[in-house]
Amino acid sequence: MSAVLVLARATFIEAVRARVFLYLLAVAALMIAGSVPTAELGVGEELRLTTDVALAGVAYVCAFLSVFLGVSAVSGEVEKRTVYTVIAKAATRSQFVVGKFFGVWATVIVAALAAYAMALALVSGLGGRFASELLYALWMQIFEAGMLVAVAVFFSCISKPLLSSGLTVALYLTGVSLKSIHFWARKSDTPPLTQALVEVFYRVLPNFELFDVRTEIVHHVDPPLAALGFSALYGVAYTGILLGCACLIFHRRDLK
Amino acid sequence: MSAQAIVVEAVSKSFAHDWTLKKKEVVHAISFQVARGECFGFVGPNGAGKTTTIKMLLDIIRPSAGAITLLGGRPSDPKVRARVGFLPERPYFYEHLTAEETLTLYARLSGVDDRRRVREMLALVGLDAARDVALRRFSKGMLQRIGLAQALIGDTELAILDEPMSGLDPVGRRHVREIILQQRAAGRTMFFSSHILSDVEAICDRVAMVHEGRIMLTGDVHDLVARAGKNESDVTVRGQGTLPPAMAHFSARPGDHHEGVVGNAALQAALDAAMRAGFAIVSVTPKRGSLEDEFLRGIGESLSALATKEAEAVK
Repeated sequence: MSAVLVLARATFIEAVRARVFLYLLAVAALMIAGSVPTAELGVGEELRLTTDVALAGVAYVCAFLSVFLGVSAVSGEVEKRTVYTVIAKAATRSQFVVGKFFGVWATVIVAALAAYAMALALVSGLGGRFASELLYALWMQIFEAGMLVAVAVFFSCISKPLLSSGLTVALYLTGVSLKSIHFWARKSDTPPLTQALVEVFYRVLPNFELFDVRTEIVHHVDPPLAALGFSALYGVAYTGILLGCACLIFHRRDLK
Repeated sequence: MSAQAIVVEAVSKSFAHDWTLKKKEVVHAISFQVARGECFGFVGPNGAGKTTTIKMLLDIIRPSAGAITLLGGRPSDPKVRARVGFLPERPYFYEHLTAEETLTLYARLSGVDDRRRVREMLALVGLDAARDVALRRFSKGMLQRIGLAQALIGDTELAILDEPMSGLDPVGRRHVREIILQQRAAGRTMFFSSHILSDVEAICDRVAMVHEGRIMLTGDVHDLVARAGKNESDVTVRGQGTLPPAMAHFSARPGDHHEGVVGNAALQAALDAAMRAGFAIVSVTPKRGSLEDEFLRGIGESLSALATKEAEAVK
């Protein structure tokens, strides 16, 4: 078994056996269940609102788990000194970083699958038609989580968990609004310098908005397959570049 | 195949301050060699630079200057590290994995995927009964033992152990000592750091003594201990009457016993005189030097030499 798989497996087992994982699944269940009373506020639109709130709940829980596990994936191991025995073996530092990434990503995917199963059960129980759209949302959720975990792991290679959390959350919040920021910057009377800066950020920062298909799903509109494919490719490419940078940085570091 | 397991040549290490970026050298151009199959002690007080040196041996941190060769290759080469085992000081592991899962992880990272080997190592360190227990439930001594097992689980030719006996009770220390001796007998090179000199004296062939990032002394343990010998003996005699002049300073003990220290040069004459005066010789024990004595002497000499050198440089 390659070192990456060995480390990913250990990371996955360590994460799913931790209490926080179960707590987060419980939070996801509560948020999904909580979508029913919330949806009663929208008269005649209960099912649509339930679906929307449930999917948002799943997305938040997955994002939280990605950040929580990702930011401590490398720096947490350096702080706890578990990294010493691992990289003193035949594993390279790059294998360590990539193994940690896949372990955390696998954990988030399992959480997403569990949360989507709960959401599906709820919406089906309320008489809704949800199945095929759910797969699109899940598909997007997986790639979004991969990119977010990569961002967290990248910061985890250069700073401590607290700072990494702040930076990852800031980048995620920017990323989920990036298209809108870009749109408004181009439409309004924004100064050219600001427009140029926004243009650079739009090209460079991770665009998490590409993975949001909730609007299409709640309105029972299938998202275009080409767009889904592009988003997935974008996610894989961005994740690969971030991990490459993370490996380079971690390779050069002295692990005091 | 190189005859040396470890070759350290003029290795220095500096760390930059987090804010001022001012560099501070913590290891100063150290050099030493460890032969294959040898049990080598790397001793020194806390903060001497032992752990920093060990981290450089394993490519956890990189030297600022100098070169390190491990089993004929570079520490940065994963193929070299696959033949090296490492037990860090106060080892930490994934706490939700069981003992068996932990050893399986390290075995696979070493390129060995052998369930039987995992079970053997658990038995070697006396943890076979705890193989399904998660490491978060382990005591400090158990963690030290699982650490030792993971260090030895691959095709380990060289084991680097950082304070392997720290925090262990006397039974645990003895167990670890036996394992180290057993591994050396099996032909593995054992390199371990410690500030407990009696442990080093008991099991090592050779030592390097380090203080404030400098090697103060290297040598054969037996030679160093012999060098530290005090050339005098503890003597106990029994009887009544006046002790000969060479034993006039002896202290009286219950049951007409008298004991004290006599220089070896005057020992025979003193014993003859005591017997002539009607005393019985109860015991004569040559006073033995210890590694600790030699270490303290070595540090004293090296520090005064260093101070002289620095003073001359200032002039």
